[in-house]
Amino acid sequence: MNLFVSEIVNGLVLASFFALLAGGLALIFGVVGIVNFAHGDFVMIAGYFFYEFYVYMHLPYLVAIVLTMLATAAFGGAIYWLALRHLIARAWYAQLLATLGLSILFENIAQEIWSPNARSVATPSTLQTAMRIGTVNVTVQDLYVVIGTIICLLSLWLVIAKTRWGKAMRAVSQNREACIVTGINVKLVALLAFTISTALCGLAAALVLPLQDVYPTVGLAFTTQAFVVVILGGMGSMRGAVVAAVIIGLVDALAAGYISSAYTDAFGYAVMILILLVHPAGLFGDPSQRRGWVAL
Amino acid sequence: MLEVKGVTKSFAGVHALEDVELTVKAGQFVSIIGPNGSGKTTLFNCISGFLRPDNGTITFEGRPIAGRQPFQIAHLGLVRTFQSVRLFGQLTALENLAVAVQQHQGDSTLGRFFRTRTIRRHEAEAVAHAEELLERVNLEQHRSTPAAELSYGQRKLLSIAAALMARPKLVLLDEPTAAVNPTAILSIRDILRELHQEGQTILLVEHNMQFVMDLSEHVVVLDAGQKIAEGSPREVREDKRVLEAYLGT
Amino acid sequence: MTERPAHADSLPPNERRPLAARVGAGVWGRPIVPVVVIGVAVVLPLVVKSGFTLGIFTDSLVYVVLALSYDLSVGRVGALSLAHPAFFGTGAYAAAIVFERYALPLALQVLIAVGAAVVLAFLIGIPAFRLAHLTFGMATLGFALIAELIAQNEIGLTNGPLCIAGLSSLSSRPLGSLGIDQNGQQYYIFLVIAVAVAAFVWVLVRSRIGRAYIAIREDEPMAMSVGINPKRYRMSAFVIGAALAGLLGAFYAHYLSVVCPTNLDISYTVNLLVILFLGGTGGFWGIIAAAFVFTAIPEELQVAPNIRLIAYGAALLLGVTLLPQGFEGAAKNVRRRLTRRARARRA
Repeated sequence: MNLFVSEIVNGLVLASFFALLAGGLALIFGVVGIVNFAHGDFVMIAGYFFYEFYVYMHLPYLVAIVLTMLATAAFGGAIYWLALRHLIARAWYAQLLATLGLSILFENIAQEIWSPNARSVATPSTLQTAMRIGTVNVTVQDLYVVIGTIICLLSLWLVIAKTRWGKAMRAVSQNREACIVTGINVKLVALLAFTISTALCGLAAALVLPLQDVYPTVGLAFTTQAFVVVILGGMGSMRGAVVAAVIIGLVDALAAGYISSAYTDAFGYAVMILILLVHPAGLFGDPSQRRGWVAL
Repeated sequence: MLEVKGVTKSFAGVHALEDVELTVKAGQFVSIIGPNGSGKTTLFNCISGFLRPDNGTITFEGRPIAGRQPFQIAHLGLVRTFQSVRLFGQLTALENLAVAVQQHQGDSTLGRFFRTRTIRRHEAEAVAHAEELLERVNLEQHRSTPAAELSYGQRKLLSIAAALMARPKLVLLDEPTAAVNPTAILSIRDILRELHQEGQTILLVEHNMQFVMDLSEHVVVLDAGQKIAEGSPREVREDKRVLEAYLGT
Repeated sequence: MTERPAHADSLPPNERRPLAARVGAGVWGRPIVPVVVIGVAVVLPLVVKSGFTLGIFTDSLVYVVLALSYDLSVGRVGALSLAHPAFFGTGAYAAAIVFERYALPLALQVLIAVGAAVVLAFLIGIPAFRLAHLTFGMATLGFALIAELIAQNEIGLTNGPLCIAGLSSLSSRPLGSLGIDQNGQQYYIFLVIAVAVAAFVWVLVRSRIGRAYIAIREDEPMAMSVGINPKRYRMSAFVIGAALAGLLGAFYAHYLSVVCPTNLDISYTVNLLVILFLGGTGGFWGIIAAAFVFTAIPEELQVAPNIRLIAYGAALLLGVTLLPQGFEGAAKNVRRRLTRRARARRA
């Protein structure tokens, strides 16, 4: 029973991380219209930013988090404007390949700058404090991850639901051409969505880094996990991404706890493939939007 | 040969087809007409397997085919063309036809790869048949031209030839005259007439009234997803409901 | 590398050989290019004395086979699978395991390797082909990662990260009796494999199966309406590609004389995608050229792997963004533009 509850806690922490990653990826796919295979590498780079702010400059944890988000968002916006926006009208596999190229570029430049070795962040002792909730131990950091994610996603939801820019984003995700005709600044909306999504990468990195090391090649694993979640939730659906993040997070944690930790990633994939066989467009995807095979 | 009974299909609650009946007998030339949005193309898609009807049965030579895959229906001898010409642009005119037959012979995959003698014979026969058809649609001088480089009318003719390549028992032609110039329409008409005289069964969906009335033995009129009339071209032309549907009175 | 005779433009359009030759007539077309390429490849070891350099050419041949077999799925039928190294690695492991345990002869090992790759291709393909586009790609990636995890963790079967080592190395006695050293023998063995696989792919894509591939790639509804079953053909391209990769894997295991979990690694996929998309998917000579360019040049220049990958990443990003059809497509465009200009000048 204790194992079960603590694995559920682990699963929720994992789910929060996945939700931040996949929520951003879904936003990029839905609003910008790009399959971003470099998404996890933004998290990797954000991890190094956080390391610089927190470990190197000794800034307070909360300040480091906010700075990491800002720095990652600025970096993401710049990369988008320089390279990725030229991919908007291209076929999905062209986007996948170009962003895969970007991912390889990031990975290896990071190796040049920060060396291939893993870096870890010594968690401040206040964050390591374990609390007893019921019968299980939960660290403060675990709570930070879950609560930080919930606050962030709720405020993002408010922005998308209530503000003018949020409405513009929803409009663009539904019908790009119509938005161009009605005078919405589609280019700016796309840039905004990309920036928000990389800010989420920054938050994810800053929240999770005290629990996990950062190294240059970690990005690909993050990317594939984010894709599993987004595809399971239905491409471009933020709501789907959050639901799928919870499913995959819990499955991964329970599988690691009860079955085999070596095959953790495999279970996420297995669940994705099984659910897709029933719902080919994902849980919240639009089945009519199944685009074709590679037409070269 | 083809029997459509009680076929209903709706999209997001809108009835595109409602309880449609249709019969095509062997050797007949039947046309489906109707104003825009009357469900002609939807019916075609249901018959050729690109859509699954919500309700009703479609039988071809006594076999139920509703809900089967398009390629399975093609194997049974029911082949369609498309309203917007679809061809394989990279392949030449001759190759476009050659692609069409290969599935209908029981050749083994290994045989296809190693080009055994049977395969070579089948292929030679197919090429001969393809050249015959190209001649028939007056494209023999374009046999080695990639389809993408043909004119629109020529591609339309080629797509009809491609449908005939499999020696179908029934061909479904989806608006063969759409966006084609008047002289090309006349040559399409002559080709279809000749085919029909040779005994080919044809089901046509068409906008061009003159074309339909010239060729058909039997005309079915759809309006708003329902069959409102059928009969010989003359009967249909004089039917009050048809006039209403077309003139909107 | 034009395959067309120089006077082609003066012939009436229906007499142009390459297109007319594709149906009915022979499948070999004009033999000049392959004869020259194979000729150069055969005499290469006489010119290249350095074992290191020859090894680089052997590696390039390995990539030629991997790329051509991968392209059957990606370029010919448009199914962007990310599982290709899994078939290559499975072939290598299958050969290594049956060699280690039962000491079977190489021919049987190869047969078993191909069988294992084919079985795996069906296991992956049957569920994955029910999905479309990106989800297909991610599902195949998932299976590829699972295959790598199995190689890492099923130590009883694969020795895990310790690898299966000590395989007999690849050599050929008849070649040895001609005074060709070990490096040369391995080079020629892979040259024979590469030529055989290239010839196989060449014939396959020009057979009726190949025409069906073009049909489903260019227009799936039309292909279905003329009776082609798209799923079956996609699956066939996927499985044939897997079989070729498995075959290569068996020889590769003996070439390195050790098989590790990294043989299934998706870093192969990245290299292969660079080769395919910059060489031109669905092409032939472009892919072969790209396999050499992207394998031999960085190795010969002894570029640090890190710098090489930076260049690959940049090439992929810029290449896909700026050259949508790859080198071969770009070359074809230039050629088309030139002939058009020449024709205009004549008129």
